[in-house]
Amino acid sequence: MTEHALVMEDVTKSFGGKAVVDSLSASFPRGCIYGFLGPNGAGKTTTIRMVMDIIRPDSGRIELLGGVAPGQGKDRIGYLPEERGMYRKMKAADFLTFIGRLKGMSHPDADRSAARWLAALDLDNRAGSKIEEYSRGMQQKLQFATTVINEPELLILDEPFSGLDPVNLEVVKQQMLAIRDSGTTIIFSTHMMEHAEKLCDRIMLINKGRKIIDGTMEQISGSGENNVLLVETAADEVAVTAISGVQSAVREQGTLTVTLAEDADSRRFLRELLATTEIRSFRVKTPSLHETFVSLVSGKGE
Amino acid sequence: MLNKILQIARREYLETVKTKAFIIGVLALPVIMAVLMVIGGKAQRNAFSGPREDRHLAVLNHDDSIDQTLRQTFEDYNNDNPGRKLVPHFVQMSEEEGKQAVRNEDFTALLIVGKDVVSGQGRASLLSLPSSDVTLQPAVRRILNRAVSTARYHANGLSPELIRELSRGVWLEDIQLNDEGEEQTSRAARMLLPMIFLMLIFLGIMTSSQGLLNSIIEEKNNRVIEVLLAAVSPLEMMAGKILGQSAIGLTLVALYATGGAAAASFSGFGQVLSTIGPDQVAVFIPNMLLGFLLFNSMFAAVGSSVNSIKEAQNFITPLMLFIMMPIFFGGAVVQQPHGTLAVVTSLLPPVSPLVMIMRVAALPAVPWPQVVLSLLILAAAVAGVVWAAARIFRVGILMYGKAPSPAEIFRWVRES
Repeated sequence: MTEHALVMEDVTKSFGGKAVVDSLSASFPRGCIYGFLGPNGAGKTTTIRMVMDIIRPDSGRIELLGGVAPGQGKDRIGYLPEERGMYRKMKAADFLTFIGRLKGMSHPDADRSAARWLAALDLDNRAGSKIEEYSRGMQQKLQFATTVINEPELLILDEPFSGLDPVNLEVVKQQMLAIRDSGTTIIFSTHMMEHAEKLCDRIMLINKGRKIIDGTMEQISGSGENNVLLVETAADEVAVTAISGVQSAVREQGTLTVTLAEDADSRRFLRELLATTEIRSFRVKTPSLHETFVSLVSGKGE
Repeated sequence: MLNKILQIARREYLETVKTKAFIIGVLALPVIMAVLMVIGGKAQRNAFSGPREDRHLAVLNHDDSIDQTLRQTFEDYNNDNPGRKLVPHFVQMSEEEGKQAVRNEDFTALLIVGKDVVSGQGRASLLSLPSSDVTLQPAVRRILNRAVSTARYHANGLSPELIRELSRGVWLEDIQLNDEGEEQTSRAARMLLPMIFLMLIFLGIMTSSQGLLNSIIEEKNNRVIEVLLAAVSPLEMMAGKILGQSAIGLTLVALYATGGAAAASFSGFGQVLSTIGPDQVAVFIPNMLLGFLLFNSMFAAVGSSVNSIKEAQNFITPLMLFIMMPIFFGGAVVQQPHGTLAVVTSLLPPVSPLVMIMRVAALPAVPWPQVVLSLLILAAAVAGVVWAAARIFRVGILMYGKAPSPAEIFRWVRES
C-alpha cells in the first residue's frame, strides 16, 4: 500500500490548440477527502476524465493507487461523472448489479453489494422498481450507489452535489465521510466552496488549467487575507480609521471590522486602540474558503 | 476485457429481445409478408381471370362460312373456362347500333367479323369501352383464330383433330448436373435462393444497425455513457454494443431462415433447400459476420457523434444506399454470376459481402481464390473501419450539443 492514491506529473491537454489542463502536477495522499476546486471551465472535468482514461492527456503521466495506469484500475475506482444518468427501463437492483459486474465483480458478489447499498441508502423497498418510476431524489441516491458498488479504493466524484436537495445532500455527505473512514480516498470536484469547507481534509484549487494552491484546509485558510480584525468596542469609526496602518473600519452593531494595510502590525494597532478606549473582545477574522478562493482566482489566477 | 465486452453485449441483447417492439417486429414481418402474398396472389388471379360475372359479347358476323365453327369454339372455350364465361350474342344490327349498345353497356364488347376472313381477305375488330381488362382481347383473338383455322381445315378437307394431334408438343425436361448427380430444381427456384440469402443478410444488417444507432443515441441522451465509462473503456463499450446488436441480427436471421425453411418444406418448395450445400454456408457465414461488423461499426461511429436520429439521417443515408445497392443490381448478378459487375462488386467492400453471397447462391462454383480474396479485402476493410470507428466513438460519445461536420469527424480520427 503506497502513500498516494493519485499522482499527476506535468499533465497537459489541449482542445483545438487551447490548453484546458496546463502542466498540472499533484499527488493525492490516501485516506482523505480531497476537494478539487475551481471555477467553471477551470479544467476540473477534463482532469478527472484523464484520470479515468476517458480522454488521454497530450503529455504528462498519471499514476493511480501506487503504479497503475489509468484504464487499468477502473475496477478499483468509483467514478461519478458530471454528465450522469441511468437506464430508465431497468430495475434499480438490476442496474446496480450490471454496473458491479462491469466492475469485474462476480454475479453473486454484485448482487450482495447492490442489496447492501440499496439498504444503506434506504432504497431497499423499491429495489425491484424500474428506475423511471423513481423520484428524482431516489435516482440521485441510486446514482451514487453505482459509484461505490465495487467498494472502491479511490472514489472520484465530479460535482456530486449538483441537483441534490438538502435531505439527500446530507445523506450523500454522511456516506462520503463513512467511506473515507473505511479507508477510501475521495476526490471530488465542486465550485461550491461551502461544501468543500465542511468535508475536505485537503484541497487543490485550479484555474484556467493551472494549479493555484494545494494543501490542507489549515494551510489554505492561512494563505488568504489575514489582516482583518473583528473588534468589539465602543470606539468611533473615524477615530479608529485615524490610527496608523488602518485602511478601513466598518461598524456593524457592537463590532468593528477593521482592515489593516498589508504591512501593518496588528499588535501595534491594538496597543494604540487600547490606549484610547476599551476593547471587550477581538479576534483575527479567518477568511472563508469562498473568500480565499475569490481572492486567489482573481489575483494569482491571471 | 472480454468479460466486460460480454457484459455490455449481454445487456444490449437481453434488453432489446425482451421488448415488445422487438417481439412484435419479429412476428409482424413474416405475418405481413404472408398476408401480402395471399392477398397479392388472389388479387393477381382475379385480375387475370377477369370479373367473375360473365362477359357478354355482341357478335356481328359477316362471314357465313365461319358461323357454325365460331359458335362451337365459343362453346368449347366456355366449357374450358366455366368460371369466366364469354357469352356470344349473334346479333343482326348495323355497326352503329352495335357501338351504341356497347356504349349503353348492354354488351362488354362488340366483335365485328368482316366478310371473307376465312379466305384471308377480311378483317375483324373488337370494340369496347376503355377499360383495364387486359384479358378480353387475347381471349377473343384466340377464339376467333381457332374458329378461323378450323374453318380453313374444313374448307381444305383436313381434319382439325388430326392436325392438332400431329402438332402436339414435346415437354423438355430441365436437368442440371451437379457434383453429386442430377437435380431437377426449377431455374426460377435457383433465382430465388440468392435473393433469399440477400434478404436475410439485409434484414440482419438493418435490424442490428438501426438498433445500434437508437441504443447509442438513447444512452447519450440518458447520460448513462460516462457512467459506464467508469467501468469500461470506450473500445470495450463499442465492441460490446456491436456484439450485442449483431447477435440480435443473427437471432433474426436464424429465426427467419428456420421459419422460412420450415414453411418451404411444408408448402412443397423443399427442393429449393436441397440446393444449399455446405460450400455455400461456408461462404455465407463469414461474409454475413464481417458484413455485420462492417456496417455496425459505421453505424456506431455515426450514433456516437450525433444527438438525435434526425441528426443521424445525413450520415446514414449514404450507408443505407450501400446496404440497398445489391438489391437493385441483384438481378444482374444472379443472371450473370461471372459477369464483370458481379465479380467487381463481390470484391469491393462494403457491398462485397452482400454480392458474394448472391453469387455463391446463384452458382455454387464461384472460384475459391475469388471467395478468399473477397474475404481478405473485406477483413482488411473491417479492421480499418473498426479502428476509425473506435476513434470517432471515443470522442463522439462525450460530445453533446451541435452535431459535428464530416470534417470534424475526420479530425477526430486523425487526432484522438
